Amino acid sequence: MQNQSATLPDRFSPKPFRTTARIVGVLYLAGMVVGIGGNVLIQSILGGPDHLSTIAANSMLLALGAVLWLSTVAGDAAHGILMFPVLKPHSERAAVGYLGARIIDATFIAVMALLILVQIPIGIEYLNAGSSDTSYIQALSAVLTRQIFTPTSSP
Amino acid sequence: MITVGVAGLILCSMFYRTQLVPRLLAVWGLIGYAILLLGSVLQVLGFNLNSIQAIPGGLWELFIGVWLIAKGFSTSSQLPSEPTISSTTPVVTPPLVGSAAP
Repeated sequence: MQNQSATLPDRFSPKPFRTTARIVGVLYLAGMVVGIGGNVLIQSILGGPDHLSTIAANSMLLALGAVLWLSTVAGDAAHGILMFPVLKPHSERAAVGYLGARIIDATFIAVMALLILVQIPIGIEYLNAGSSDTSYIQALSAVLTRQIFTPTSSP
Repeated sequence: MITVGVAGLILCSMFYRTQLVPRLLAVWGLIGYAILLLGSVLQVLGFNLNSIQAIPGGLWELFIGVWLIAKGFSTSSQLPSEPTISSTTPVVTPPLVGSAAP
């Protein structure tokens, strides 16, 4: 109720949804910077040769990269939420569809962040493992990151 | 990335229809996200594109970000389209809003 009375004048004002437009614009730019920043950070650790032996020492940086990706999760969901009242007067279906697609997209990025974080315990296990087990752990690590790096792309 | 493409196509088709942003921008977004969607499907099928399919859509996101901060949504389209929607469905919408509000 309060929302509706607050957005109605905004909708019919000379500049409709001016604040919403600004926030969405900032989210596009911030999402790009944060997403690429996280990508660079994660790639710098997981992209190197024999990265498994260095993960334990760099776990904080890798976790920071995952946190950056997780903040793009919030940003992507916010796109759908913020655009909902803008799109709804034109097409409620499009507004709901956009919100839903953005939430699914955010969920996928969250799963990718989880795959990154799982590399930390794998790296610790790699250091603790006997020489006979290292190849299994390398294969496990490669399988989990392949979806993100080798043939597939960043978020 | 597939869902990013789908979401972008929904948004840009709405931008095109409502002219909330200039139509040229909407068309650029439609093309960019169509390329992103197609490239992402190709990647699922095993083609390695090195993320080049994300470039047109990524540039659009940078441009639309600056545009929305500087210009916001266009007004000319918003006002006429609003009455036409409510006038085509005058009986259905008001009771729904009224009954949902309390």
